[in-house]
Amino acid sequence: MKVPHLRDLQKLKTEGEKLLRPRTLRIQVGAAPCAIAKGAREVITKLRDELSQQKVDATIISVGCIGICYEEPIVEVATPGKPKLTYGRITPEQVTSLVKAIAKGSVYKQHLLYRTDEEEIICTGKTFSYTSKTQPDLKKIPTKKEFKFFKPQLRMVLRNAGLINPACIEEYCARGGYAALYKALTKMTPDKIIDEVTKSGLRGRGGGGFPTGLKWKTCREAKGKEKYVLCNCSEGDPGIGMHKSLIESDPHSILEGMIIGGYAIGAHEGYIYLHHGNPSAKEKLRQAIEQATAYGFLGVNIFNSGFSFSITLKEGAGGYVCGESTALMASLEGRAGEPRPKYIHSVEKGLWNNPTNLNNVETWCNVPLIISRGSTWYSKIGTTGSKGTKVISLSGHINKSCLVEVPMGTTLKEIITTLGGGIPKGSTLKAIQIGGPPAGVLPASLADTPLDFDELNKAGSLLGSGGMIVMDDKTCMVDMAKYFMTFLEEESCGRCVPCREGVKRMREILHGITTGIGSADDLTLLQQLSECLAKASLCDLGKSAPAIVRSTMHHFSEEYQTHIERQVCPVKRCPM
Amino acid sequence: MIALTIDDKKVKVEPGATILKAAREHGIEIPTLCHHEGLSPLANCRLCIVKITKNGRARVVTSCNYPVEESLTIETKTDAIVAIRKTIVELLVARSPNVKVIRELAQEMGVTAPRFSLENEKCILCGLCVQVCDEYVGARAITFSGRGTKKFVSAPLLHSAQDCIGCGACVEICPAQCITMQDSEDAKTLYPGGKEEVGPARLIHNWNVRVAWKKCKSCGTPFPPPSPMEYLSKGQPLSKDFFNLCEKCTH
Repeated sequence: MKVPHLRDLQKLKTEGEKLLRPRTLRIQVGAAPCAIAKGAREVITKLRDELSQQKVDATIISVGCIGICYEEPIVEVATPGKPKLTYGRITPEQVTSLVKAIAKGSVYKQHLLYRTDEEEIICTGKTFSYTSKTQPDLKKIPTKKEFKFFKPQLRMVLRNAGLINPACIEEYCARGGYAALYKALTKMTPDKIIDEVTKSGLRGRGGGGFPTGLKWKTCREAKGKEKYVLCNCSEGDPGIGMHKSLIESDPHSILEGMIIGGYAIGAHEGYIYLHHGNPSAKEKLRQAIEQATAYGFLGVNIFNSGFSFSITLKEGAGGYVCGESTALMASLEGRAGEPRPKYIHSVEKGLWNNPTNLNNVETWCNVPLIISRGSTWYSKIGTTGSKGTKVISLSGHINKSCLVEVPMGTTLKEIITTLGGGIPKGSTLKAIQIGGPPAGVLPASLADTPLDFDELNKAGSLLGSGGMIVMDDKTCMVDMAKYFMTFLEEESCGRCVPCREGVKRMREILHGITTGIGSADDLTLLQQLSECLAKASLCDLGKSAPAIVRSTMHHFSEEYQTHIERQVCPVKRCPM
Repeated sequence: MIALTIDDKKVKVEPGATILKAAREHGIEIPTLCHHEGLSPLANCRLCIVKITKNGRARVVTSCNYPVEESLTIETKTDAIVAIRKTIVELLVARSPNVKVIRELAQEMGVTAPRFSLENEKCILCGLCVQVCDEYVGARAITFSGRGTKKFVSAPLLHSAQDCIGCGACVEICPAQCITMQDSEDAKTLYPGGKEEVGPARLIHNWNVRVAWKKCKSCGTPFPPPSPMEYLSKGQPLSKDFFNLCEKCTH
């Protein structure tokens, strides 16, 4: 069923609304990676059995990432005319009692987290109300807006995550999906779109923070027979899963952003580059591309605009360095994933030497929102230099590991205390690592640094991909530096001497320091190697490899001294 | 012509030239290891780095592949640049202390004993062998395998390099001289399945290659594969029948 006209899109939207708000009970179970790890599949099976046994008429929908990882498995119950109720930590054992409560029309109090009276559809600015009547028995339960986890958040990129069935394009349309694409293709010119993206202040979410509008404009103006639009989904930082959650919760938002970008730049082909070893994300994307094509959002003459666009999903072989744009393009071309010097930018000569615009998956997800709500609305969110929000994957020595999205400008401390629930009792905050291996570490004294590209750079760190690892006072910073250098040593492509040899030698020196054979000369050598790598490496992997070592040596120099002079690890972590 | 400054010298250069070419044309020497005049720059060794300043913004770039720009200021030997080059050489010496070209570089730069544990790699991973075979000879017979410090040059999939024509360009271009070949008048090769071949052949040991001498297209005599290096140094392309004619018939 193709949707050449607005009325067809509206029909799709209506169908989606019927699915989202059925006349019968709709039960949503979080089925993102962490939920599945915690047994969501078993909960779904038990739910089916119990609902049938207790003769309750309901549909069970698997949704994506709700973000409250520590409360998984999460089950949400939407009874028509009543607020949606969200329950946490529902194991198969609790399902019987939960279903009994549902059958009675009552509340399963022990596991109730919050209620949702109304839900904002951020693409349109409208609100959907689950109920119009006040429910006296639920007054004491916090609403979703008041719930501690959601209060500081602004879910824009994750606007549909956990709220829709990611495998259902109708539900995506019901929440405003593909309306931005319609507006872009039928009511805006490519120049107007680029103007909007520029005015919004959107900066690349992959780590570089380059102004997206400017990148699009340069690519549009570049000369080339073919142009390409690429989506970087090759998240590779150790310990984070934002891309995976995004892709598995709302794959259509990525596609919609890319099609709009393709139209603005003048490209007719897009590629999504995904790391190998991610079968569930691959399947969700493949499904979404198939659905979008079937409905005519991808393909020839979209919305009768004359614009045609196709998206191909490509898997890489799994090298961290393939997250680097030129290495990604080499891998897409079928060559070894190795970077090339960027004296001529890939927006002018990229994939097969054609003008290519590469953006991170999170950047693409912002695009439909900017088109729908406008650049003025978007630019009101965030700080002067960093507009919009950032998805943060919070983990480490924290009470509540979670996936959140906060406006730029939120301080790291706020994220740790309000959303992460603070450091576990008996420990104190020592350091924060945000941005992955290329970023320097921040000591606890800099926890008031706001999430902002420029502020984090000034503090010696990097926003990067937004993976935030919290470290307590039992962490050995030298050991931590060694861990990151070991990771980078395995992932260095090996093309240039400074990175290939230098990272290995830095790791060797750190290993020596952590095993009691370090010397004061080692610190000088580490500084010299850092300078060599930072200035002479071919790509940013090598150039930023010394960041962790430099920042730990700067902020935690006494720890290095203790290891070297007294052959002792202050937190007794190193084998000495 | 493009006007720029190299080491305080004001020069004019042809557009499209690299900083390295411009410097050498004006008598300024910049060290290189993975560079060959006739091939596109690899920029792997990073020895040719220079400091460039334009519009007040300073950067460190490799001179072998950076195109000259109007009013660029180039400094090839600042203290910082020399220090970084020394570190690069120190890293190379630690990996390959017994490779002559590395020892010569070390002596030039004043690097004595490296402060790292010594290895004994013969190959310096410059990439010239792979590149000459790919870009100039066109056989594309060898490739890099592995990643990072475990990288090495090999035949594709670690078998024998079936596309090798035995021209020996890789042998001659290798700065470390670690690729060996041998011509044998009566080389005997046993193939799986029992087939045996005896005859003049070129063996290139590193790639498990045995290339039987071709018969000259003109006179029919078997001849060893000719070396293309002279033409490469002159920057001339190879004629269509370069590898098909024996030395006598070429003239």
